[in-house]
Amino acid sequence: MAPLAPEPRINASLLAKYRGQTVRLPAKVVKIVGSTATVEASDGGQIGVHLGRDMHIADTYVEIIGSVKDDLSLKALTSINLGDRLDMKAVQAVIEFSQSSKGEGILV
Amino acid sequence: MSNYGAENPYYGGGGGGFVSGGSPYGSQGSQDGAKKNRSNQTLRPVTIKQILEADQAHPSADFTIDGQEVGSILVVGSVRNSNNSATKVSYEVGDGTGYIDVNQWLDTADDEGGKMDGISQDKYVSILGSIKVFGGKRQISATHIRPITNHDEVFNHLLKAVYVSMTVRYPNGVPNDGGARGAGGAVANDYSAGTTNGADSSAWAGLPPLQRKIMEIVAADDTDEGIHVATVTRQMGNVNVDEVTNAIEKLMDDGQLYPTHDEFHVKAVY
Repeated sequence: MAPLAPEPRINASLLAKYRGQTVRLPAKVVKIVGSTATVEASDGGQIGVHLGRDMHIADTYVEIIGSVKDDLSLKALTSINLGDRLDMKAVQAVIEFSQSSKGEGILV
Repeated sequence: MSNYGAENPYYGGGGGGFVSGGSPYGSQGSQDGAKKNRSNQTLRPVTIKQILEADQAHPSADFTIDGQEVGSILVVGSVRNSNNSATKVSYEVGDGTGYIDVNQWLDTADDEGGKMDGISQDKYVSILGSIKVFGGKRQISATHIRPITNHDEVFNHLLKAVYVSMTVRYPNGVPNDGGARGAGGAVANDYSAGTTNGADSSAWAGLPPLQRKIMEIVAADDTDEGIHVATVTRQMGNVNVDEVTNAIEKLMDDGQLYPTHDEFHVKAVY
């Protein structure tokens, strides 16, 4: 079995860079209408997420593992509940380090 | 658990046969031993990518990350799959940087110890263990696996992994290339905002400006007896003497400065 690929952690402004790839999006759930959720990323940008049928979003904060579609929405493969409180500044710091040379060999 | 690794003939790192001849660590066996043991006793927070890319000089050598030997490791990731037999449980865990198999032995056949309690698919866990190789594949042999309830821990762990690697890669401070340093966003923001004046030693980036200035002055002195506090005060220029004295005392309390042959001379710890 081939090893599973990494899933870079991203925010709204990085969506375009990862078009077609599988990513992790830690976010705050703004609203859920039918099978589409609107979430707020760590940089404050909002993203539309297409949820799977048996996906269980219970908490205010979630981490979506999904693929970035061409229209820059996210097709969720799975979601991880992260509780009702989360320090989004720490999340943003992780994502910034992932994009900087300092995160090389550690985060990416 | 680390004893297990060292004594196991299949995984053991410090085999005498390897160390005695042409060892990269030098010829004095006792020193090698001391060095090995010391780093093996540390617990390093790492990402799965760091484990998968860790260096190993030869198949029975210890793993190194950023050139430093790793013994026990701490990993935080989400469970993707789990599989258990009568005596052992394996999880496939991912942290965004990669996936790895994590194995844990169960005390009893039906897990009476409750080691698997609260651990299920798509839940974050904190794993304490060591790196093992089985069938050519790296995996984690876990001593403790704990479900995470406060998920700030996930992101704090990733920042800690960066912080520790930065400390190992740049023992004299991270070169300032305009990027962020430190474990938190707040530090990063303070740093990029350019609040410091003159040459900035990033090792003290987290200190208030007054304390940082003092550290810069003290560190510039390379005498054995250190620098007199009055000299520091004078070099600080137009700053209230009491403020400088208080700041020096604070730095001594925090372990940044230490007194030398009398209480008026101080040196920087690093």
